[in-house]
This record gives sequence, C-alpha cells and structure tokens, in this order.
Amino acid sequence: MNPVTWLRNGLGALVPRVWGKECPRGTPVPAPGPCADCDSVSLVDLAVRERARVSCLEDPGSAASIRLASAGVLPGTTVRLVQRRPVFVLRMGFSELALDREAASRVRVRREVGEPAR
Amino acid sequence: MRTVPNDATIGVGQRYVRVALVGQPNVGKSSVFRRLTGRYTTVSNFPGTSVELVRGHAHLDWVAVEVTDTPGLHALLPSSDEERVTRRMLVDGGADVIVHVVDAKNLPLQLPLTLQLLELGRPLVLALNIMDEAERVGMRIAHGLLAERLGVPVVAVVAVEGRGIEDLRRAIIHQVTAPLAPVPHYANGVREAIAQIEAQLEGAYPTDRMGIAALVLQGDEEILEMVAAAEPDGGTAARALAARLAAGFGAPAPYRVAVERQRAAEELLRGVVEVAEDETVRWADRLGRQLSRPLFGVPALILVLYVGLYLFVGRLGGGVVVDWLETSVFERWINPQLERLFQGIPWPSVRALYVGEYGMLTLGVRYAMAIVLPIVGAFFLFFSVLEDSGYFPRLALLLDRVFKRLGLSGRAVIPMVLGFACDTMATMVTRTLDTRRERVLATLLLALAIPCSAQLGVILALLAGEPLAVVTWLVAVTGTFLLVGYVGARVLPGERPTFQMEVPPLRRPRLGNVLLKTVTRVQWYFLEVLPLFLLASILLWIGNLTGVWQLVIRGMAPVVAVLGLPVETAQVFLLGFFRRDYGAAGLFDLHQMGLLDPVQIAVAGVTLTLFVPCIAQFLMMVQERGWRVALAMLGFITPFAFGVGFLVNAVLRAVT
Repeated sequence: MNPVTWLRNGLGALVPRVWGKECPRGTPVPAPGPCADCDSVSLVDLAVRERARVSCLEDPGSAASIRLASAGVLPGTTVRLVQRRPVFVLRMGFSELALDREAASRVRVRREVGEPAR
Repeated sequence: MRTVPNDATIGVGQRYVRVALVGQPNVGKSSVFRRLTGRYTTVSNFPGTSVELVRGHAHLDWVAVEVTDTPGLHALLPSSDEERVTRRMLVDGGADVIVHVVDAKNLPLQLPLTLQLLELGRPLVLALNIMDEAERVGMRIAHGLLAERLGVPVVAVVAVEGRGIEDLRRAIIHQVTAPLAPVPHYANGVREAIAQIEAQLEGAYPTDRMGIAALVLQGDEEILEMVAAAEPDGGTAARALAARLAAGFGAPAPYRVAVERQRAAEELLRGVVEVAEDETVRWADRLGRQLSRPLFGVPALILVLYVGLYLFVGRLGGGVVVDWLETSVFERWINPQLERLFQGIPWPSVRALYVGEYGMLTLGVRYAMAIVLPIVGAFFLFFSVLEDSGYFPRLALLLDRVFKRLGLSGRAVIPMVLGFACDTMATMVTRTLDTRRERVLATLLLALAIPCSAQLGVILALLAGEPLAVVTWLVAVTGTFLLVGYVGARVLPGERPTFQMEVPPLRRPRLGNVLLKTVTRVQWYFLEVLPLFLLASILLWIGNLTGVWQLVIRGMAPVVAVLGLPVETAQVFLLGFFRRDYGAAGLFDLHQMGLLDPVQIAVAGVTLTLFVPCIAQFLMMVQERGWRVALAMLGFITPFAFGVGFLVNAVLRAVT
C-alpha cells in the first residue's frame, strides 16, 4: 500500500474515535475523499448472493481502478456477489467478473435490499 | 466538428475498403470474421484467444474489402499489450469502417466502448452478436430505436450460425458512403473539456481530433507523444491545458470520463433494453463455480488430466495409434517399399539421404507422420473441447493464489495452459498480462517447464507403463516450475499483480468448431513441422558424411555420461535443438529399441522437457522480449536443465 493511502486510511479510522464523529448506524466515517459515504461498504463485506450498487472506486487514478472502470464497474452499476472463494466473482447484468481481494476491496458499494435490478 | 470528411476516408489508389472488427474480449469477433471472409482464425470460449491482427479479403456486394480481426479491447485507453495492438491500429487510421461487435446480452456494459469508437470519427456499425443467448434469457433490444439515437446501423447477429450476417454486410457497405454519426453526447463538463483540447490541436492526425483530444485529456502517454510530434509547439499547450482541465475535475480524468461515458450510455439505452433479470441459477453456473473451488476443482483437474492427457493422448494416441502406424504401416509397408525404390541409386551415400538411419523419408517423414502426428492430433482434439467449454477461465480462478506466489496472477494461467498446445503461440499470448514483470516471468516458465503438446505426448507415451518414471517426471517438472517461479518472483523487482478477469459462461462445445479447429491446427502444425524435420534430416546427413556429427556427439558424450545415459541419447538432445518433439521422438525410438532402463527414461524425459525451447519459440521470445532477455533465458535454461537431470539421476540411483 502506498504511504499516502495508508496514512489516509489510518487517519480516517482514527477521526471518528477521537472526535466522536460516527455514522448513524455506529460505523466509523470512511476515509475522506470521493468515497466518504456513510452507507457504503467494501465489496468484500458483501455476502454471497447479496445485491448492491457501486458507489465509488477507491484510489480512482490507479491502474487497477481504471481497469475496473473499463470493465464497467462504475458508480451506479448494480452488481451481485456470486462467489467469494477462492476469488470474488461479481455478476453485472449477464456477465461475470472475477477479482482478487485486493481489486475487490477497491470497490465501495451500497447494499440494495429488495429493489428490482435495472 | 468532424475533421475527417467522410468521402476522404478511402485513400486514393487504395483498392479496397478496410473494415476492422473491434470489441471487448470473447464477444465472437473471430466468428464474425470467419463469416465475412471465409477465413478461419481460432475461435474459443475464453478472453484473449486472438492477440494479433488477422486480415482477410472478401467481396461484399462487389465492393472489395479487407477485414481485420483484432484482439479484444475494453477501452481506447489500453491497459495491456494486446489492447495496445488494436488501439494503435485504430488511432493510426487503419480502418475505413469500424464494426463494433458486442455480446448482445451485455450491451449495457459494452456500449461505452461504442461511444469511444464514435469519437474517432469513422463510419461505424454496431453488431449485436450472440443474440440467441440474449433472447434465451428473455432480453429484448429495440435496435431500431438504438440505431436512431446513435446514428449508426445496429444489426442483430448470431455469427456461429450465420444469422444476420447478410444484414451486417449490407450495413457495412451502406456505411462506406453514409454521412458520419454525430459525436456522443457527453455532459458534466467532459464534452467541454474535450472540445477545448480539440480546439488547441492544430497538427494533422490520422483520425478525428475528438478522439485524440479525449485521450490527451486522460493523459495517455502514447497519444501525448503523437501530439508532441504533430503539433508545431511540441504539444506543450495541449498538455498543459489537459492537466489544468483534469485538475478541475476533482477526480482523475480517466475515471471522470469513464463515469460520464457510462451515464451517456445509460441514457441512450433508456427504453431500448428490456430485460427480466433471471434469478434462476443454471446447472452450468453451479458447475462452473464448483470447478473454480479447490475442494471440487482440484480433483476435477486431476480427472481431466488423467482421462484427457494420460488415457486419450498418451495411451490411445501415443500408444495404440502410434504402434499401429509404426509397425504395421511404416515398418511392414512403407519403409521396405522405399528401400526397394531407392535401390536404383548406385551411390550409398546419396541413398542414405533418402532412406537409412537419418534418411529424409525413413527418419524425417516417419517421425512426423507416425509418431508426432497421431499424438498431436489427439492432443488438439482434447484441447479444443476444453477451450470451447470455458473450462480454462475457471482454472485461472482456481490457480490465482498459487500463481500469486510465482509473481503472476490467475490471468497467466491462460498462456501457461496454451503452452501445453504450443509454447511459441503461448509466448505471444503473454501480451495479455498487465506488467512487464509478469510477461518476463511467464515467458521464462513457458520456455523452461511447460512441455508443448508434441513433446508432452511423446514423453507421456514414453513414460506410460513406467510408474516410477511418471512420478519422477511429474515431481521434477512441477517442482522446477514452482521453484523457478518462486525464486524468479523474488529476484525480479516490481509490483504484485492484481487479478481481474471476465468469466465467460460454460458452454457445450460445438462439434463443428471443435473439428474445424483441430484440423486447422494439425494442418498448421504439419506444414510448420515437416520442412523442419526434413531440413534436420539433411543437416544430419551432411554432418554424418563429413564426420562433424560424430565429432559433436563425442563432445556431448561426457555430458550425457554424467547423467548416466547411454551415448546414443547425445543425438536426441541435439535433435531437440531443432524441435523439442523431434528430440522426444528420437528418445521414443531409443526406448523402442530397448536401450533405456526406467531410471534413464526418467532422467532423459525430465532433462529433455526442461531443455531449450525449439527454434520457433526462441525466435518468438526474441520478438516479444528482445535479444538480451531471450539470450539470458537460454543461458540459464540449458545448464539448469542438465543440472536437474543430474540431480534426478543421483537421487534415483541412490534410492533404487
């Protein structure tokens, strides 16, 4: 991990504890940046068969994130996690994309409950 | 503002219209290519089957066209070498008409690329391929409405069955003279940013400036170089403007542009695509998932290897068929006939060129026809079935973790597996890997520890019936693969690769495609291999006449003696320099003569497997990695192979 990201993530995790800023449900405020969204979780936190909508990509300038974007993993895309092991597999529409944990953890999503897919 | 007038797209003196088939990986571009040109290029069910441009000629309604099949492309901003091949062709103005082939059921994900292609200012046709699968899942696409919105023809196609190809032909011809489509409608500052850069560009470019400007905005290095060469000010103004605009976005430009394209594509598709998402999990989906999980996937892999490779290729192809061809056909029929035929030649040394120990016909043709052909044919048949089923991507998922240890990712599984068919071709497929480090590691492992089909088949046939030799060979070659990969990953600097790969659905292989592919490959193989076998025979004959051959063998003798092998094996290794399978076939011959004991078979088999790549593979290594790297690899592999052979011999002799 590059030191800036590390620092940002580290500070981001500290901030709520120090100043008591917390999201409504008690989860810590995510690191500042384009992904600061209380309701978003990382893709790796989803359970199998769970559906979610992509809210943003972490570190969007990196080669790995641009590759994700080229494959259609972009804010607004509805995804469903169909497999977690040995690698993560998401289903978008009728195509499936395999990602290792590192790539999958770059994707922040909002859980979608009972909403129909696009 | 379009800077390339349509009537000028076909250059003066150009005799045909250049049509490029472009699209995401694994959407069936090669199938469309075959339908349009009648020319077969390999069609499989995994991304990355085509890694170079393939051209074919055809007449569409009396208009001469040259169709180019291109490697898969996710976006115009390339992230791997094979994408770069396609991108370069498009940006250099290598296409008069672009056909964007998409997998119809994934249209929402693939339409953003259509928009990027429109930026290039070329006539475009959108081909919705694999329409049958889209229909089967209950998807309906109002392609008339989409065509109206995009301003380009949209054609529904099922290329493997030939459905819709006539419409596609007509659409392509229509586009040659039709007015250009309007540029994609971007908002949120993206269109303005591109337009500002476009206005800054003054030089001459082979494509529309909008496409160039969009790539400049995204900071594409190759395009920035192109701009630096074309602009009177060396591109400094455009570069500075792009940097300023990108900074104003608040997010990296490629990301912002991708988000905006996605939004524009969604808007275009509103009311066009109607889909009832089906929640039903097909049994093929379930099987596919299980195949990528260790608990089920590893036993399945072992079963596939045992039945496919050992029983079908080794036992049936290399055992039954080869025996029959060797004893019943060649020894009883052809060779005596040839001997009699050439009795007429009074000079024994000339006669030896054709028939005899190293004769072109009795050695060269016999090796090619009787030993290598049946084995390779069986292998290609087995391999084609696996390719078309979509098994290999599952294997990539299964092996990702192991490959990470070797400095590679699951993506590298595809070139490795292809190496078992042909290492030369597989060396080229390493283009699909993201970093130079991965490409170098994969090239080395292919050259060292992956035996090609012909070599593998002959070695399996050789080892069959010698359990000790089979186990030794498996352990030594797998161990080398893992060890060299592990050490190599630690020696070569670079970032850890991440793994991302599309997983195509499991499909039932089509018999027609499997047979066509097998025949095409056997034909290609035979045409490539036979001249080399004959050439080797001639060189051997000359060497034999002049005494050079004996001299070289005498020089090699101490080396093979150290390995505990009979002196005859020296020539096997020398043959291996020409082609791996030629050497392996020589080994097979020695074994038939009863010259080798089980330990010697194991030692010779291991050494020959690890030993130098064939000439064709070496030349491919030079082409893809450069002279320095290729020679360094050769300098490492040769002593290493003999070292492992020495170790295997020492261990086995001590144990038995």
